Amino acid sequence: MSPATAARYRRYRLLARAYPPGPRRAELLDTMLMVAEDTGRRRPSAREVVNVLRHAPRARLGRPGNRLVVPIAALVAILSGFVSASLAARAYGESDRPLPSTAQMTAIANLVTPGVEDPPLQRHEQVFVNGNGEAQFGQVRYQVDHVTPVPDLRAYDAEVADRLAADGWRLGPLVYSGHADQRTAEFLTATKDGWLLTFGNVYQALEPEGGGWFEVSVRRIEPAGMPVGFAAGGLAGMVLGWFLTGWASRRTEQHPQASGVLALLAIIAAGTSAPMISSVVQDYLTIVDQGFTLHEGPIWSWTVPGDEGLLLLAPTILVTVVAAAIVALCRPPHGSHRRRPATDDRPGLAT
Amino acid sequence: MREPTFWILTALVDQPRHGYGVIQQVTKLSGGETRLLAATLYAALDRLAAEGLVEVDREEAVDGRLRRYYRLTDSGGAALAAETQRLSRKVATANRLLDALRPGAGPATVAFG
Repeated sequence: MSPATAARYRRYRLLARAYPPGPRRAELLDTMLMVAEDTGRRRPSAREVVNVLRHAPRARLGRPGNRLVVPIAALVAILSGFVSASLAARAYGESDRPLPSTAQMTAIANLVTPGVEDPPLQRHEQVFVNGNGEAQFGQVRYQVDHVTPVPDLRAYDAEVADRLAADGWRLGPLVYSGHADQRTAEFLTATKDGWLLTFGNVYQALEPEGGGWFEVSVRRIEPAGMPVGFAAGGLAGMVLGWFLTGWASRRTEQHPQASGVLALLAIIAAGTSAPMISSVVQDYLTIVDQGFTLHEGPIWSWTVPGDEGLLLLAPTILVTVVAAAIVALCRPPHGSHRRRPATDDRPGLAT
Repeated sequence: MREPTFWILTALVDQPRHGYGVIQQVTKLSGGETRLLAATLYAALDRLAAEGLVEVDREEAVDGRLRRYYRLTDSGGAALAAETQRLSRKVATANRLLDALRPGAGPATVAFG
């Protein structure tokens, strides 16, 4: 074999390796080499590379002639990535970093609600589920009525922000309810020493004369490594989901009806979980952007037993269980432990 | 039936062919209009084999490289014949309507449906 021929062989063999080992890879390589020899091409064209990379995933997933198997594998990968990313984020998010002590909370109360003596503190060391079925961050919080009338919500909160900044707190986003110039509630956020302070100033009614209340809570800020853990967990889950689809595809290849049902179930599972996945991804991007979420519960809330998110995912979980049962009931094809073909793309076989 | 599928089946009518043989024959039969790439060809052959329209005729090892020959099955021949008749009917219909519009062929009125 001349050096040019050997180089061409190596390049096409590398491209053919996108396909799984076996006769198909070998005959694809043979065909591409024959085309290349006929046309005098020394390396795969861009069109050939794209063509092989477009079709190889189907072969890798065990359904070389099926156009649907790659989109289905992508859906399963996304779903699997969502689950593993959430679990990875939870592993990072459940830490024992201390919440503010009573003395520290009293000092914070003096900054944000001066005049409130001995605020009625509620303490939850770890994530908990409130009465509405929502997972909430572990936190120290209190709620008190306005001690004195607050005629101008914005002016009052601006003073609170100034005092927090002077005490070393880093001010975060502010959200409000009502019209921009006639607000009925404002929520300030500020961070310091790994804590997130949320200060809410709420009017009872539209008019300030109706009175109102303050809501103050301090929770642990999301761990710095959590976004990376979430992404790494998601990536690992996606890879796992992809291989899982390939395994299920091969196991059910002799069962066309079961394959059709499984494809439908994968689409249903993806559809029913899409709103939750979208919400979690948006939350994740917020954390990446500003270091914490404005939600009252962690990004992985749905993994907490009793949280409403788990209820919202009930159809997805049900569909997944049914799909797993179908895969388990399908007998794999005979001879699924394939022998290595006598002729393949091993270098020594080409002359 | 998609055009590449039609040409692949047609290329296998007269004799079994290996992958490159099919590519060459499709290019020739289609007047160069359809040029199959290898991965596209094998995806189509896999699909056609699963539908029972083609099957492996034999395998050869040439210079240590695997070469499989594919042939048309009876079902494949029947499917191609049905497709050919369907296309013929379309062509005949289009020709009939076009003939009616040609100058000197009578009033240019065509009834559709």
